[in-house]
Amino acid sequence: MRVTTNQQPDQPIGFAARSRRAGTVLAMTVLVVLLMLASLGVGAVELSPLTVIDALLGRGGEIEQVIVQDIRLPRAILAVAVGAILGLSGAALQGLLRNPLASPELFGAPQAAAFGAVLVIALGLADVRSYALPVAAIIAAFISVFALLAVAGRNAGMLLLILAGLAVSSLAGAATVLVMNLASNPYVALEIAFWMLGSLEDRSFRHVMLALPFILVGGAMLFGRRHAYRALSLGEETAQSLGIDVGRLRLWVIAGVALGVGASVAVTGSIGFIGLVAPHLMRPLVGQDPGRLLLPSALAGAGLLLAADIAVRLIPSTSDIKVGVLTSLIGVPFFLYLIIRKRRALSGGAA
Amino acid sequence: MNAAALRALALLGALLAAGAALAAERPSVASTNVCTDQMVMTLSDAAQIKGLSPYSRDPSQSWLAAEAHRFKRLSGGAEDLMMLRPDLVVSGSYDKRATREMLQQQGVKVVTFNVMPDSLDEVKQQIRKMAALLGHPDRAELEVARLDAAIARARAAVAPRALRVLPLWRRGWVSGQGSLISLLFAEVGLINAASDLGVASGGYASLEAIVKSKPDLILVADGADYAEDEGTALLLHPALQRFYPATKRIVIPERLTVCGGVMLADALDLLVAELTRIAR
Amino acid sequence: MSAPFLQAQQLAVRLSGRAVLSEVALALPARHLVAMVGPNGAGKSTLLRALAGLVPVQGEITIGGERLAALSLRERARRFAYLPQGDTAHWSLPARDIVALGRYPHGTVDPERLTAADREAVTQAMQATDVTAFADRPITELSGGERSRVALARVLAVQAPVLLADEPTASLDARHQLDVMRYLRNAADAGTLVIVVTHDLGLASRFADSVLVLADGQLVAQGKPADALTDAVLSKVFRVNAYRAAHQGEPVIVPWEAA
Repeated sequence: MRVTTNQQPDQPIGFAARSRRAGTVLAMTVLVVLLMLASLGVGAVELSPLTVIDALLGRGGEIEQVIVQDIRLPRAILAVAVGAILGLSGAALQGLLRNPLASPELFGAPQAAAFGAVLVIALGLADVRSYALPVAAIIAAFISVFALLAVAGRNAGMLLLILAGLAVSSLAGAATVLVMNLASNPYVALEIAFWMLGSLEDRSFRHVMLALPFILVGGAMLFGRRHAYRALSLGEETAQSLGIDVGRLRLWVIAGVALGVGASVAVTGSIGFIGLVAPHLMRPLVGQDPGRLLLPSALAGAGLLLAADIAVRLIPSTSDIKVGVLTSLIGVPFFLYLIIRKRRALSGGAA
Repeated sequence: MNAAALRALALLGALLAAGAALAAERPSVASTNVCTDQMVMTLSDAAQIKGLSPYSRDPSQSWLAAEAHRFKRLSGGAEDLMMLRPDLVVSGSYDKRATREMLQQQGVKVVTFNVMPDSLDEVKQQIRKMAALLGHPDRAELEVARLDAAIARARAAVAPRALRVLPLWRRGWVSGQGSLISLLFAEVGLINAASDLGVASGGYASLEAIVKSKPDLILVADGADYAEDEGTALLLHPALQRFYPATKRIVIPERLTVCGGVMLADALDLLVAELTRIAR
Repeated sequence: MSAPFLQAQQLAVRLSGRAVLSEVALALPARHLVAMVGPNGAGKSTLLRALAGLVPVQGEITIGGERLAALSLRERARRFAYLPQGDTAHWSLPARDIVALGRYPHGTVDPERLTAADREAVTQAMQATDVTAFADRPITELSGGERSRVALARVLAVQAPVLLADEPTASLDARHQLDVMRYLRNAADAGTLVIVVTHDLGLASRFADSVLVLADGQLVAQGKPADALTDAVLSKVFRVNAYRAAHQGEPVIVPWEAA
């Protein structure tokens, strides 16, 4: 029998891949921390890095402290949390469905979540800083993803999922506009139109507290089943035969995505395409293993959103650019590029 | 309600009774703007009013929202106006031009009012112009007298130190020079802090810039701790709350400051009252 | 045959209202290679999937005296290793990680955190199917034959008492077909009950201890290859006549002409 090995005798199996992944995670973490610091340094009021650090540590003038701690810090924290959960959701959905085009926004989840939140706002049911908003958004997101997977069926191909996702987002979008029309508050339509574009501007710690618990729970749910996505790469039947309850896993992932995306949308509006792009950026670095892609994708999502949110503050403009607009401007061409790469599979209608 | 207003009302009642015979000759009127709505309701007889604008019953914008329920609410389009055939349609200068032109083609008399007057004198002029159109020129003098009285009270209450006040609306919109708010500020000796933010006639200001420029007070439309949308949530942002708790916020409802009309008298009285509250 | 290890009685499967399997009774011993044959649509894959617990089934199945219905998903997964038809690897994982997925039912969900027992099972499985040489290469870079051997190594790594393989030789070249059957034969000789679905009557008769013949959802014949695949069964079930011979002590059956 031929037994060859390219490993050093004292190195455990897979050592090279593992250290490469660890290196990527470390580098991404450093990048996210740096971007977060940069995010704290950028704003309408110019503050030197030293002033920012002082203010962060509770030193220096009161105004500087308020600007950094109460205005910029919650914004940076939300960018990290929302970006991370979007990246994680994208990676988890791609793993669950074994489909590189899967992502929350292509499934209409943010659009549906927006509808849930808009319903609460337009009907004037609650303060926009109350838990009613994320809860409504989460429920709507759950229903939409559940309906989508139910319609598309098991082992659905890319084309089917994208078509069903388009239908779900169109429906959610139309329902949102209808609710806007029925609103009692005359400013609601305008407010909602702005809010739908997605923005992190002037969010406070109240917003952070509103979204973060749900994002953490959703993230933990998605991350907790990471090894199951790997088994799913052999197909649903094989995964089932390995002892994974695939039906329950699906519900679990849908719930996790709904919690994370719903809570995010409730405080930031819909910020698209982070979930689609982040896993693709990480695959060349850490490999395709869906179980090992989650953490890097979360970091990439956080980095992407932080960078986009810094960019909207740096690009000179007369009125503020919405960060959701920027992520879509980057994300949609990327999506088209993916379609070109997967064209054969898509036009064949096969998975 | 103060004594002056009571007197005005009594006089109005007497005039109404006397003028009932003349009412048939006075033009019927429809209003397509929430600001002209207010003038129409204060200056005309109820029988003259054929319809009011869609927002006439919205308490956040319409000063006389409660009274507006007595009248027909228009759709905002030209169709129901044509069916009603009023002798006169009064509208705001920023209303839909197409609707106005269509009405004029149909032979309806349309008179446009500047809903963003440049001075309190222009406000008075507009009141007189409207009253004349409606056939009640005498009523204009009552309203103008009310406004003048409020202006006099405000001038009497001018504080020794000129406070810098930032009029801040939803989404961080700041009213600058030339706004009605600025006109009112001038009467009570306040300085509009918008210019410190580089805002001329009006524009959005960032939270950071507001905190940095640190005006003495802010003026908001709503004093409640309730955010019905993200636009109002901005005004309740902790960074603003920290520097501008309720004791640093002048609260004047939007319905008193969005239109150039007699409600500015109420706005001035309220402004003085709020400044007194804050000074305590 | 020795004492039956896997037993089934009154087995029936309905899929979307249609009876796919009915009245199937099985009694199969351990250390045994069973070939399941039958024309397309006879219900072979369904029977395999029913045993693996992938389709709802009526009737009773016992394994080693335990009722299958009473077992949890994971307990069942430890008893039945299932190799589905076709080649499904959606992401480019290293071959070794795919083999290590066979340890999932044993609670080892991370291929990089194998216990000593897991490592031994994976190593053995890879050696048995001769895939050690390309263990670190991504699955998508391997040839079809290599991939089928990795897939087989994955089910061997489960070390389940029953191994179910659905057409593992389909679309393989002659050499790989023989290799795969040889690996399954070795597994059976080592104590596993191997049930393999195949269309190749030649391979079935050459390697199997016994043959199950399914037609229209029912078990129509079973026994040693030569006993089950009689001329009557071949002409009635498969509608062919076969050439028969013997070579090196094993029966040779080659479908020759339409019956």
